[in-house]
Amino acid sequence: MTHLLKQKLNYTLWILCYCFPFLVYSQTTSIDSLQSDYKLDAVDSTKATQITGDANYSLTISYFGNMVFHPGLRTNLEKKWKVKHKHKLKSKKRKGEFTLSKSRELVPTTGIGFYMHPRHYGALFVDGGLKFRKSRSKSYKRTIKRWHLGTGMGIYRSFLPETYKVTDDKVKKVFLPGRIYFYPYFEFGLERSWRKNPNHASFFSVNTLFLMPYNTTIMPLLNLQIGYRFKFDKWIK
Amino acid sequence: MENKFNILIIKLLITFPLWISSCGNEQLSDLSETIYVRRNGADMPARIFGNGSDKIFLIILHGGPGGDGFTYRLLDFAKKLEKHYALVYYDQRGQGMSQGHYSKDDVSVEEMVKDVGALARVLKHKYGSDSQLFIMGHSWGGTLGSAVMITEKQHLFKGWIEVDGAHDIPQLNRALVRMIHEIGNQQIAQGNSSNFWLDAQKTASKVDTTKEEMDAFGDLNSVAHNAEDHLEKADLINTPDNKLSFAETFSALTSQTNSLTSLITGISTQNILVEKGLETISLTDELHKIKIPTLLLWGRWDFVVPVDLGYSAYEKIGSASKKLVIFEKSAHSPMANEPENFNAEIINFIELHRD
Repeated sequence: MTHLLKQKLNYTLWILCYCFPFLVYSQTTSIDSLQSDYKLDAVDSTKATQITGDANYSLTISYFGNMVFHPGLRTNLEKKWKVKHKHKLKSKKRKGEFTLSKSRELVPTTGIGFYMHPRHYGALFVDGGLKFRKSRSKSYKRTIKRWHLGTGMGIYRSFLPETYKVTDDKVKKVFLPGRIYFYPYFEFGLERSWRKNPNHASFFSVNTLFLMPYNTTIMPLLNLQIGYRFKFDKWIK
Repeated sequence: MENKFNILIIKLLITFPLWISSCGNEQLSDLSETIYVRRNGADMPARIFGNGSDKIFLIILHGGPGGDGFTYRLLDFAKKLEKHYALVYYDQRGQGMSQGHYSKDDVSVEEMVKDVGALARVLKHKYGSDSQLFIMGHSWGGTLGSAVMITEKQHLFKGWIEVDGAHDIPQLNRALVRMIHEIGNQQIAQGNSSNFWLDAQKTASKVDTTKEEMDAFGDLNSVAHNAEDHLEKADLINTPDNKLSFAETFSALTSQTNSLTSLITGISTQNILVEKGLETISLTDELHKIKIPTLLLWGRWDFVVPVDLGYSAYEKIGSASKKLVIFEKSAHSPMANEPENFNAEIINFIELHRD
């Protein structure tokens, strides 16, 4: 038992070390200071918000499908942390002159979600991590394309149906049965927004949680997410 | 509005675990529920389906190691047996959808034997001490079941059904080498899949059955599994008819075993068992300790666990009531090759030995 406790303590420390600095730093940094960090002029700033939006905070809500078909929901709170923009004037024969805008963002994120594996268990999980998001848009197009890579760590609690514990041939029903696992996760996703509303985006992503310690090994869970991201500034004062 | 939203979220979070625990049908005549057995760090699911009116439960010990119990429910025989009895599809420690935290020391046949005993106690606790338990082990499940039966735990059960069970791995390997040569020669003479049988004989010739050569036995095992396809082509065994309807396929995808989870945890558990000497398990000399009614079911053309093990088990088992049935058109899984005959034997056995 002691080695399991030590293991759990280790995983908790890892999560705190990994996620906490990002979350704290992001909470103390405002979008205004970010823009001054990069010394964007007025024109650039306008162009920049045209592709990344002006939202400080975003909320995502998505369908979370463990192995696609085991249904669940996930919601994440994201905060814009580091933003970098590039704008280039380009020309095409048919389109004439246009601006190609690109941006790179680092986005700390924290989320909660659940899913059900019917007949077997349900799971609730909470995590925190960091996303690297890249956007690209041509000024004559009505949409902005983005992709992101994310990683982070979290805690996962499974909820089992009726469970009986047997010790020395004695049987006892377990209250709220389930197991706690720790996990790092990795995510890749694609996003698309309308140029007129860059704060909102629909997205699709694939992510993998590595539950540990699961039995005697590490268990990867493959998940698919389809959801929507929207501006959440007015909810956070 | 904000308050209502918060209350809704809180309600969802509170009811979520309760919803999980309430899924299924607990009516005895039409059982459809999942329970978990927790023992020594492992939570092992037992899905119970079928007619439990008479409180007769047939526990299925799956193959592998590394298989899962629910796979058997995709076969026709199980759906038909469920009309008569309650079938318990159980995932062993570290396999299928079992979960938990424990060390490698807790993965052993001895622990799994105790887990089976715990499952029996849980079923009697939940459905009443008058519940009658029968247990059926297939392939690796036969190894585990035999290991349970040679202990005092056998008395928790009314009867033991071993289906192509691997209760003696060294004997299995010797019999397999002999079978590959004998049947291979017959098939080559008849011009059936000659190339396959020649290759199989080459592989078998390389194996020194007096030594424990893991790689060679692994090769032999894959030959044994592939042999079934060639036996089907030669019309020596029946082709399993397991076409799933759309609803069944969807149900398999959504509510049954997560194949990735099962594969990874199964491989890990199998490796641990192999490290601990799985290939040397030999229970034949202890089978005389089995005193409860026993039914041995074997496929004549089983290359994975040859029928020799059935004959020797029949000879050694100490029970006064024992029967060996050989299915002439079956290989390693007679429940898939000859489901009607298979079920008839199971039903006869249970009806004979129930109260």
